[in-house]
Amino acid sequence: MYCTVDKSHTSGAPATQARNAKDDMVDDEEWKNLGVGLPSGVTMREKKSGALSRMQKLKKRLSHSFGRLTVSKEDPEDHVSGKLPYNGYSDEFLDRLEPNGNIPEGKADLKYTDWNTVRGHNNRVVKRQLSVSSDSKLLDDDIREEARVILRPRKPPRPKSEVLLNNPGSEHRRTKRFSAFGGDSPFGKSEAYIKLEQLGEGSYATVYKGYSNLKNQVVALKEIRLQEEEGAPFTAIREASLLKELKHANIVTLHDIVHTRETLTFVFEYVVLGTPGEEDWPGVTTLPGYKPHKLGQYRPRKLGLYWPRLHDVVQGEAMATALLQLDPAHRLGADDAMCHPYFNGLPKKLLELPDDVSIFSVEGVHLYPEHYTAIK
Amino acid sequence: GDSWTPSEIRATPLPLLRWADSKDVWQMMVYREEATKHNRICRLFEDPTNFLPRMRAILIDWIMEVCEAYHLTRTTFYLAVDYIDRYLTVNPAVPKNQLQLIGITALFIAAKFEEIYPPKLSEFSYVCDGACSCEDIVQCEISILSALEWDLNFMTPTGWLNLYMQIHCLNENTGKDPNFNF
Repeated sequence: MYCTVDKSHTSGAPATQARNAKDDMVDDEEWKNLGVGLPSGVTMREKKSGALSRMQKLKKRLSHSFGRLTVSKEDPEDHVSGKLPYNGYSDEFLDRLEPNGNIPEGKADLKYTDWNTVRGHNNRVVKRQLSVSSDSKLLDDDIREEARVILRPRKPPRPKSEVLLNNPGSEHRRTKRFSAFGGDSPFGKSEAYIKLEQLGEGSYATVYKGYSNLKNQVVALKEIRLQEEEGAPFTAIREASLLKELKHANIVTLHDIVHTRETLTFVFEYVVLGTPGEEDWPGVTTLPGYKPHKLGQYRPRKLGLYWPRLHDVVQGEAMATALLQLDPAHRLGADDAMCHPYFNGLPKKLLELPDDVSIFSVEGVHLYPEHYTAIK
Repeated sequence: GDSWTPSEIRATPLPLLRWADSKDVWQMMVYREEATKHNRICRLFEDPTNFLPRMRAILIDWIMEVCEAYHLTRTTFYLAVDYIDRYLTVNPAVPKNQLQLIGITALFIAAKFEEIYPPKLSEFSYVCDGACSCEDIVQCEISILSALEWDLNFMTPTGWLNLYMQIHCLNENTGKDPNFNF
């Protein structure tokens, strides 16, 4: 605002001064709306005093407004020109509305602002529009044309929409379909999983061993009870949406989500090594991050049960197991691994190679790219 | 599908950042925007005979007001709008009396995702003036989450703005304060 003061000194003309002040206020308001320049808390604190009355004002059933909206004028094309986007109405448009919400003749060219061009500016417009639209001055209130609008020939929708529109049971189907993977996907349905024994229980969820009929493999089912007042717990919402993005060898993979009114189940890959404990990793319980209630109780399984291809290679399972020991003291190191019987079929020369010489320099050693499916 | 590969991996236009590899940052942000783009069909809002855009405008205005009243962040608002648009794309024939429910539930989910202290379910129900019960909202939450396939981590305009402001500060501070770090 300081520049307004500066300008008043230089210009001296009251009209200009007022104009500048107004412009600056608008700019300031735009920035606030964008959430830039000023901490958003500032705006909030200013409004706090009027919070109660505001709350009363914004408490409303929008369906009344929508009801009026759905009504068409005798000729809807009059106020909804087909070419222009009309997500936001300009101030001018609102100022020129007739009491019944019609656009006066000849003013139709003023009715649109382009939503896509200047977001910040439109935010201001949208705010101003609020009181008008929610009081429904914008809208006419006759409802009798509604049926005609629905029957109006429309552009062919996308195939998916067509199915939904034409299928009388579509609404029923929508509420029944809890698949987290959409459509007619077999995922997201509780029938796809068999719940086996309980593996562990925490304050937040119970983990069961399960079997996936879709992938024919053992999975871990993390079942979250939805007894809460607040719907899906925010922890679950964050966990699921973040884990869905993460695909990494060191991060447990989230295969599927089954969501019903009572429970929310995350289907995870089954961790084969089991939960570390004192018996297979002495000292683990004293590590700073060790929280058994968060880990759940998994028992270790033989690797070959889950990756049968390990049996296709002589000493394959033994080698993999030796490398994947939980206890670092028992885990096979790189040097010792080279002496493992798994490598017995390789030329002895390999073991005597200096560190800086490639193993591919040894005769008969080649790299065969293998498809990722080997361990999946 | 549950995975989406960006149509092209564009070279990063971002300058060198001190807090991360700028190529990673760029790819992650583009990915998070594009990952949700494929199920948000903008043409839904271009059909002049369709009343959805005007209802959406009213709905979003109202959501903006609710955000203000409950002191929700701008990011929460943009997330809610994204959820609404994507839900309407999946279910374009949604009855108009369901729109407010979809809107308030989208905001409910966005608030739980983003806010430190999200308002209570009863507060969301309250502003609907009886149009949506708590039970309705919880039920609608299930169908929105499944329609969105739990992809809630949309890159909002505020996310981009945040990065641009940081780059701006970086440029201003270059050479002046070697200890400056984001």
